[in-house]
Amino acid sequence: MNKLSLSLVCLLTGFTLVSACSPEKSTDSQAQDPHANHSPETSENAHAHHQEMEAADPSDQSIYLLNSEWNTHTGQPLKLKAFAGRPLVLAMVYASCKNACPRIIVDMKKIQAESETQHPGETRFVLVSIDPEVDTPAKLAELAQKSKLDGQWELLQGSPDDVRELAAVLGVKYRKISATDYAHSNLISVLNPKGEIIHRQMGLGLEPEETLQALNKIY
Amino acid sequence: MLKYAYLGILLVSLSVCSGVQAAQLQVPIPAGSYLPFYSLDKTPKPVAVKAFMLDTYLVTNADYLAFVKSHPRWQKSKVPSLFADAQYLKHWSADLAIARDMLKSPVINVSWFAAKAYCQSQGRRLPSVDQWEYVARADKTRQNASQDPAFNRQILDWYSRPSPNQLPAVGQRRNAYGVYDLHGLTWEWTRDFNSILITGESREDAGGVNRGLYCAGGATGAADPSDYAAFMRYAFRSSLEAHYTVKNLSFRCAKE
Repeated sequence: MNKLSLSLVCLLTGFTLVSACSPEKSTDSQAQDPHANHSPETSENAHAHHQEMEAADPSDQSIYLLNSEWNTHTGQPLKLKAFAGRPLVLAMVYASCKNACPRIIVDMKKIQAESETQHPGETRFVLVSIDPEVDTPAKLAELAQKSKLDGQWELLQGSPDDVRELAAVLGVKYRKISATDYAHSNLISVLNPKGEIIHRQMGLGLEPEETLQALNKIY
Repeated sequence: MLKYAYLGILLVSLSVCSGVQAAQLQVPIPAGSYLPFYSLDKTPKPVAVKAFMLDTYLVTNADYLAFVKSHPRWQKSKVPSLFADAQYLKHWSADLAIARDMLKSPVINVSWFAAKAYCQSQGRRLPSVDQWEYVARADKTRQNASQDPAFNRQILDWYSRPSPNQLPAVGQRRNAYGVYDLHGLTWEWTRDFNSILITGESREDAGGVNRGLYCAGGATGAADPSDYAAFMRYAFRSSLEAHYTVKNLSFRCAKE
């Protein structure tokens, strides 16, 4: 690749980026989603004291607009909306992952340990499998046990398209790179009780201070 | 002067395409394999592509208008900002209004979520990156022209030209499979556009991407570094977020 061509490509890519990265976020608060209230209220969740949150329609920026259905590691069907009403810490991993994922889980447990000193039992922790064909609820239950995850955690299996969609909402990228392995973003997302992303912890082995600050703003 | 040229193209293609129900038509794509441009594997391997059906034409404004009529949640005043940025369908004057002479042009300013929902409404899906790239190797006469420098140069020429303010109608260039306009009109959404990881993933800062890292990062994983055109497509995809809308980014659907 000669130098001139490379710089040409970089330049052109630059142009592309300018058009691709639309700088403006929508501020149109009038936008309403007429379908948002069609999904039945989920009742299986164990946090009735937050019912006032769940009754409201998801906001314009809420991931609870997603209507996808999931299986938990305990074999329960679930819609994401079931998490509404409480802060959520969420990451996308896969069970057979040897390197990055265990570290993501360690980082999330660190967040849990710290946040629970002040607000025990308040925050839910969710892992979503990016390898849903392999990660059955049983496999995810194994992962939960092996990683010593308590009752605040939920591990989810969904359809490949729904996983891709959730990743798109969160800004997680992933790609199968071999029969057993994936490349993926190391990203922990913090959602407020309305399901809006309020913080993203990008990278591994980070001190959880910023994430805890984000959580503290919610409590 | 330029304006008249576009108008001419528009008139010609309108007469060519009149009576064609654009998005309804599909072309069977036979199974095969291709070498992806960008791979994280240490030794890039050909990827098998199963036989599938691909829309002959890009989805047009007219097609999309019919869709938002029957799926009001995707009208521009109603779509949640989670699913589309503020530029969504910016070229439409209202929820159900668009200039008549744009009806046959590809729909642009649509997010990935919107494109996905459209294809779902047709019982179809967006093509995967692999499916799209596999078919996009074809020129007018050969199903795989990717080794021909002239073919790649032609694509690059198009990438370097700014998009006209009004795109011509779909149906401009047919490739060897019988699929139109994979090159030359717009960029296209793919189902797994968010499978492209660039080393470093430093997208946190407001502007998005560190361009230096970006270009270097792209070249390191390249199976065929001479294929600038494919490189640019991968770079473009990796710069997108699912709610972005872009004035030269459209889509078509596939069916497995």
